[in-house]
This record gives sequence, C-alpha cells and structure tokens, in this order.
Amino acid sequence: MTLFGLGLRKPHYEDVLSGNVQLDFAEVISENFMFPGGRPLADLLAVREKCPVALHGVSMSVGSASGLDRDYVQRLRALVDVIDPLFVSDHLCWTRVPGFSSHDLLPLPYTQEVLDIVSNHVQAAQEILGRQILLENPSAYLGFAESEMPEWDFLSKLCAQTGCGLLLDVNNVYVSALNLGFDPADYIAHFPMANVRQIHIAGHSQGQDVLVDTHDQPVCDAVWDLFETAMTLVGPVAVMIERDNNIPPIGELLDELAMARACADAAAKRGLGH
Amino acid sequence: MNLASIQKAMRGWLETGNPDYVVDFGDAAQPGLNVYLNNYRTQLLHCLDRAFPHTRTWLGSDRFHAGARCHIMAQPPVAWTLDAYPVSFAAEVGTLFPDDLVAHELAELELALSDAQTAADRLPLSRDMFTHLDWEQVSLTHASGGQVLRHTSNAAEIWSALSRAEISPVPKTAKAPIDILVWRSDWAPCFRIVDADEAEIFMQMNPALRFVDICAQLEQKHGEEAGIARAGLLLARWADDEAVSVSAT
Repeated sequence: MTLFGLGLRKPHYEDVLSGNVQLDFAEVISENFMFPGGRPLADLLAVREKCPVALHGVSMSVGSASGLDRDYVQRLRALVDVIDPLFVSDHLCWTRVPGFSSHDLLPLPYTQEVLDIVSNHVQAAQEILGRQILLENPSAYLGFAESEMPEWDFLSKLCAQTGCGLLLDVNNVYVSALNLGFDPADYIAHFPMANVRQIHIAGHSQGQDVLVDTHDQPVCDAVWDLFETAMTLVGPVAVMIERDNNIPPIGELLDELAMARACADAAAKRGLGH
Repeated sequence: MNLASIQKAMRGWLETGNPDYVVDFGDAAQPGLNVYLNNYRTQLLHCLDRAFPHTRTWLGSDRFHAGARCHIMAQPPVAWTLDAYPVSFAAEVGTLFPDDLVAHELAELELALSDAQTAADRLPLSRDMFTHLDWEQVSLTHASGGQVLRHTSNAAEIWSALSRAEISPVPKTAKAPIDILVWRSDWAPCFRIVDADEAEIFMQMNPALRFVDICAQLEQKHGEEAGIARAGLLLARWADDEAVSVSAT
C-alpha cells in the first residue's frame, strides 16, 4: 500500500495534534529532536500518537573521507529507540571534515573510492542503529570530472553492498538534471526502483545560474510528471510533500498531497503503480 | 583528486570564498560553487539571527550582521548541530562590539534561555510534594536548564524591555554584580534577578544540595529564626516558579 504524508514543520503541528488533519505518516528532521528534553521532543511524541513518524537527517555525512561520526549516530539511535520510526533516512552527501561542519548537503564524486567509503559508513550506521537506513539522492549544483559512474549506478551498488534502501527525491532529480545537463526521465528510468521505500516531492527556485533546491515553492508540473513516471516503476512506497521555507497553510500542502494521490492513481493505471 | 582532497578544497572555499582552493574544480563548477558558498553563509547568518533576536534589535540589524559575518569568517561551525553555533558567537560578542556595555550580556542571556528550552526534562518540585518528602534527607537540584548568570550591567532589564517592545532603559554598569536565575518552566525558558543569598545557594545545587544544608547556611548568615524563615520563603518561591527539582542522588 502506498502511504501519503507530509514533512511536518512547526507551523502545522497543531493541525496534526488537534486531529483536524489525518496523515498516513509525518516526516521530521531528526536533528531538531536530538536533545535531552524540552518541548520539541514532547510534541514529537504526541505526533507519534497520531501517526507513524519518519526521521529524516541532514548530518550523518556518510560521505566524509575522515570517517563516520559515531557519537552522532549513537544520539540518533537514542531518538530512534524513543520514536520507533517508520523510516530513518539521510542523504548521499558529505557535510563535515574534522574541525568543520558545513551544515549543507555537499556533493560527492561517484568513484569506487567513494563507494567503498560510503558503504563502510552506511554499514556502520545500520549496525549502530540496528536497522536499515534510506539514502536520498541529493540535489547537485556541480558535477565532478572524477566521477566514474552515474548517480543511479552508484546508489544501486550501494544498496547491493549495504542492504540500505533509497529515498527518491523527484525534485532533486529535476534540479540536478537541469543543473548538470542530463535527462531527468532517463535518470528515473535507470534508478534502482526496487530499493525505493520513500519518495519526496518538493519545489525549487531559479537561482542566478542554476536551479536551487529551496523547498519554498509549490511543486512544478515537470516534477509532477516525473513523479507519475516514477510511480509506474516503483512498488509500495511512502510519498510525501516536503516544504521547509515560505511554508503555506496546511491546506495548500494537503492539496498537493491530493495531487500526489491522483498521480499515483494515474500511474497505477499506466503501469505497476501502487 | 581523491575524496579527501575534494573535501579539503571545498572546506577552504566555504570558509574563505577564495577561488584558489577550488581551481581544480574547473570553470564550469563556479556557478554551483557560488550556490554552496551562499547557502553556507546564509544558513549561519540565519542561525545567529534566530538565536539572538534581542541582541540584534539592541545593536541594530546592520551592526549585528556585520559582526555576525566577521564571526562566520573567523569561526566555522564544528558540531553536527547548528544549535551549537551560537555558543561561539555569544563568547565573541564582547570582542566584536567592544564599545557596547550590554551586548555581550544580552547574548549570554539569550543563549542561556535557548539552552534551557531543550535541556533534560526534570520534574519540578511543587508545593503538593512538600508533605511527602523527608526534609532531613532531601537534596535539591536545578530544574530543567537551571543556571546562574552573573552580570555587570542592566542587560536583563534591557532584554525584558526589548521582549515587550518597550523603550529600553539606559545601559549602565551595575553598582554590584547582578545574579540572574535561568530555568525552564512549563516548556518555556524564563529568568529572574535574585539576591546574593539565593544565587549562592542555587549555584551549589549543581549537582545537588541537601535542604538541611541550605537551612544551616542561612541560619549561620542570618541567625536561627531569620535563617529558617528565609529558607522557607526560598523553598516556596522555587516551588511556585518550578525552579528546582528533588535530586535523585
């Protein structure tokens, strides 16, 4: 069964906690709750009473050449033990080197060296967490001449080596494709859909020279088209709208979620679907 | 370039904006590099904006942002959480704005209030617990996020005025140090100015202080009757404010 949810942000907590909005699941940013106590964690536990929660991280940095931050993963494990999430996910990226944390999802070259490093880190993280993690394809603003394989191939090999799953961000595919000059439909056609457990749909903005993954706009038509195509190729997944900036009333996000359901229904008629 | 070299180069670019670090990325990478640089700096600036709203109002946005940009260039974030980044800024505010009497203490107070928001949960002492406790044995500790700040200016008064959008008092150096109790009550961080007695006792509650020792200290200072009365008043106030907890140890 395909699930439909939202990336839950502070302005919409009350909508969910009051019971006015029913979601199949809600996704939150893990790092916002990795504290000893306080209201954020109490609110998340209350949300957890209403619907399953997925934890989506931004700081695991599986692509750091300097190693995995095991203390970070242990803290995440503590949150996982409390929340019992539907999924635990992070990004195929790096964010840190010793003495420096960028707090941005920085790109990796897709080489055998990087595949070995990321595989080791994903395996170690899964061991500490005691469960599978999902990795999200990043939005990219530059490519590397060093890359030896396309991103989908890298992710496919990573899944085979580690048993991790994938979070397909359709907007990231579109943003990266336009920035780096590849065909987004071709990317979707090659993506290892059998490993996809979750899908993100989001909006972006036009920057000076590149598209920027801002999550501050409604989903555009081209991304809806890509999503529908992806849904013809994927099995049961958890689909959600991700909005982090310029956050509208929840009704607008629920309208987008209804659009996602319609696309999924259309995909089901076209192909495998849900 | 191997991965370590790429990450070293990218770090250099983000920290300094010096294109020499990323010359090997090629000309085609420049628009993308600019996006990453802008994301990095903007995110840190927004982080400091969110952490120090009243310090920013006090200094003025332009002045605050100029100082924040200097700090971002000099001190990159290290921790996995952005919530740790304001700590280093708060420590630098006095250096960044040396002619401002209160800015560093405003920032210190905002940081303490922010820390209290996500401090470990502790059940606060309440009046209805009084009859169930063995006061000969009980030890008290800080409630969630409890700490004492010692200020030399009227920054706390100014913070309160700014938080109510009122005209701020004139900044001044205090005649004697001002002790400020910070803690979290009913999920919200709060503070109040306390006298030297209360501050001294509160500081000793980290990790814990027996109530009989509190009484003994106050008796020694004020005499038996006045000391016990003072201990009772403090206990009642702490319970009403949810400022202390019963220590498990």
